[in-house]
Amino acid sequence: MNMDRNKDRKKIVGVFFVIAVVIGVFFLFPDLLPAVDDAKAPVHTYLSDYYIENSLEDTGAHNMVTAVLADYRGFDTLFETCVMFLAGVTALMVLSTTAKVTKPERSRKERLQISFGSTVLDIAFRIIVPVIVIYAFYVLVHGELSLGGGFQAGALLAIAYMIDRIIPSFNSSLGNLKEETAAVIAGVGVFIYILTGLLPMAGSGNFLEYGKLPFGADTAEQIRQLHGTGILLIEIGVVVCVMATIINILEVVLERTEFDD
Amino acid sequence: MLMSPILLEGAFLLLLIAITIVIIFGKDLLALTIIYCAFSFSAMILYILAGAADVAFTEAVIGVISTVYFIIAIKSISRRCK
Repeated sequence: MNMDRNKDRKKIVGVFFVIAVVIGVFFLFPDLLPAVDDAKAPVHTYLSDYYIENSLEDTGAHNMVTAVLADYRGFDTLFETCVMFLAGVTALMVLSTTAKVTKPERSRKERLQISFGSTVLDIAFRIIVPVIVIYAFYVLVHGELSLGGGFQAGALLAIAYMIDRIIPSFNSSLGNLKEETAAVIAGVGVFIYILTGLLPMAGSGNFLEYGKLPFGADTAEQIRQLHGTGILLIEIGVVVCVMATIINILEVVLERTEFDD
Repeated sequence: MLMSPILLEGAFLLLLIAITIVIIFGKDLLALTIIYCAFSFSAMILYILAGAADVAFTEAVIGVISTVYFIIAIKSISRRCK
């Protein structure tokens, strides 16, 4: 007991020592770090000006973050989506060796008794799930004008599914996705992304060059609209992939967890 | 404005450090998960103060998802740690 406390004290002293050293180093050399809003900081002198001046003209996206993420850096986002997909598949692979926990079938009345214990919660979640789904679609479609984009919309859809899944008294209205199906759907999301990237190559464009999507655009204004179409298409791919991956991991873990209810 | 932004930023940064220390030494994992949710919330406020609303939005959404994951994980192990 005494040794435990001694060990704890050593741990606490160690943590505070590390924090003190890190903060001390930052206070020692404040001049070496640029101020937060310094426009002349090295990171802001390379490409920022180009993006600020030309992103609307180049891509037609009012939200500069989306313009950079989905258009200028579309290739990076493709592999970020692949990483999400791989994370889901890896969770499936690692945990599929563990046996699933068989859960007894329960009637709705029984499930209501072992649920969070309140009809109010049950009804509240029923109201909040459709709102979350609508908001997710708003975030997806509005991604190039305001906040958000594919990743956030996918996560919101997954949250709606999660709420639907973890309230046991709920007669799951969104259905019960199998983990293998979710992994396949995540793959379909990546496929949509890559297909959007390949479409311009049918004409004379490069990979992910939205301005040359084969939808017949001649004027500069139409080409700008094509950029919007391309961003929307790849974001649909990202939404599908992110949503399915989060559901996949959730299902993999839930199926193998014993709840003592 | 009641408080200057720099003061607000400092307050939330101190809150982040305090929450981290609590999480390191706490024993009740379920309570710590909820406190971790507060960590993600203050990080979100900091992102908004820094003008990065996109990142703040993502942080808010991911905060919810990670909390749910943690709670499911804690349900399958014991709630308290030694």
